[in-house]
Amino acid sequence: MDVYGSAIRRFDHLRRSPALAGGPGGHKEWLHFAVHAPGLDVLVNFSVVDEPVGGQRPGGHHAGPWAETARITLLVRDERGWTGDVDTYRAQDVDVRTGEIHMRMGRNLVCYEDGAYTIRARARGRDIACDLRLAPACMPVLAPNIPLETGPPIHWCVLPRSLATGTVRVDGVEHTLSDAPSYHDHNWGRWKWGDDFAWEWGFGLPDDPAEPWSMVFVRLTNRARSRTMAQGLFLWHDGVQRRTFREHDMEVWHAGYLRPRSVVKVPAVMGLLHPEQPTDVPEQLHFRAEVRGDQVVGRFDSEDVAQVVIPGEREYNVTIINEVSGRVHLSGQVGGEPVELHGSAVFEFLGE
Amino acid sequence: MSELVFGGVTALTPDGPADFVARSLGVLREQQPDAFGRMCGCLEGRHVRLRLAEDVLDLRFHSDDVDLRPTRSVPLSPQRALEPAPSVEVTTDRRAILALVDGTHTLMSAVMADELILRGSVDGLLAFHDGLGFYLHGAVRSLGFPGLLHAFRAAPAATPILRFGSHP
Repeated sequence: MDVYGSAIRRFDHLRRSPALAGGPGGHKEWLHFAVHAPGLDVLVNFSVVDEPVGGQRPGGHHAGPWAETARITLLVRDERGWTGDVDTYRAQDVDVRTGEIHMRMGRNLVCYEDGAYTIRARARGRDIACDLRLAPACMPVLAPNIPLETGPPIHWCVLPRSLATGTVRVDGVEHTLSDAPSYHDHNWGRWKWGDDFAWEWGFGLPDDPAEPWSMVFVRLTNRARSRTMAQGLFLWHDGVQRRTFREHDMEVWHAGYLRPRSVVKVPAVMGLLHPEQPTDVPEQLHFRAEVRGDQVVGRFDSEDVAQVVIPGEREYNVTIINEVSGRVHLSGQVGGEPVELHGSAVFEFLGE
Repeated sequence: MSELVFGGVTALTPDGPADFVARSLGVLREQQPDAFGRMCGCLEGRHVRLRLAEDVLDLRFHSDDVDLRPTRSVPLSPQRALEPAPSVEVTTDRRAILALVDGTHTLMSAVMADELILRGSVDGLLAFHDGLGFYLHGAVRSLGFPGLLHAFRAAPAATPILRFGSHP
């Protein structure tokens, strides 16, 4: 039975660019998925982004026309480390359905049907592929109109817990997954890469699917990460969102810096514009939250990082999305019940 | 830069690395004029010589434009022998270019491996570095580069350059 399907269809459908109906351009939108299995992390991101016809010019005002560019970012981490790529698809090879959960790019597909997300993704020039079915295991949450000081708000739909079944192939090795813990979210808005904002975002799923708690953490800051605009910690219990900690309910701090031996960058060519190996990714992110007698303390331990490197839209620079795999630990008490969560996680640290 | 100059770049090996660079500058000028102009501004008044496999491509930069001249088919005359040396000379080949694009080399590691050889004065090399940055920023924002790169990648490999100090 598709317990969560009604809410998922209502919250998670594709909005598309207002420019398609004569409105403003600059729209960005993606469906993002993360899957964990023993020794394996998988990130798949299907995106459509308005780009100026004739190419981008950083800092310049573009009144139109706009054209949607469709991309798939596929990143996989196994015992050999992170690998992946970003592939762009031409308009004639793309079918994105407004108001539905359906994006096809060439032979790649994400859609929601028969109570599950279907994900088929293959990197063009790499031996990386996944064929997965993600069955939702909790209610989604819609977080619209999150304010950004630099422009229109960002919108977010999050479904932190699904069970993934299928196969993932990476460089000649095929992994078979059965009910692997998975995460999904959906962002859209009209921000520009290079605007004065950054995010720290992540989720935690228990190693044991029988464990009831799931969590999502998010913090929006200025680009220097010296000022917090918004922050929140969302907890689900047995499929239902149970507690939200916001803003002044929370304290967040970093400890140390992750020092990876090497950093995979996608698309690879962007490494020419950002060859640096050191990152400002924290070794640990700590948080503590308390409100009305409910309280939790948590920690994310960074283990490995891959970077998605994006051309800046304000200047000739780049924006870095650090995709950091690691472990999350959470304990405390909510509604008189103990909270305990230990498991795989991916956190994102956006920077430059 | 006139179309005639770009059109005159006919002596290069078809789909060779110099041909790729020449075509890419045309795409950059057309699709990313701002980045193209900034690149030219960085290298204004400089002469950059690209030795790419069997081809030689001379780039002479103006404030907002560049003249391209292939020299492969031009016989060495006494007059040419007396020309001033280029501000910057770059020697590389198809394999190294693709290694840079595919992330298996950084600019630094390619230089250290003698797969990208740069010669010039310090200020000339710094200007080249800045100009190359705008070329790359324009390239990754251009819709025309993926197709160019695909054609370049599909072309048969040519003779590698002679490397210095890297023989076993």
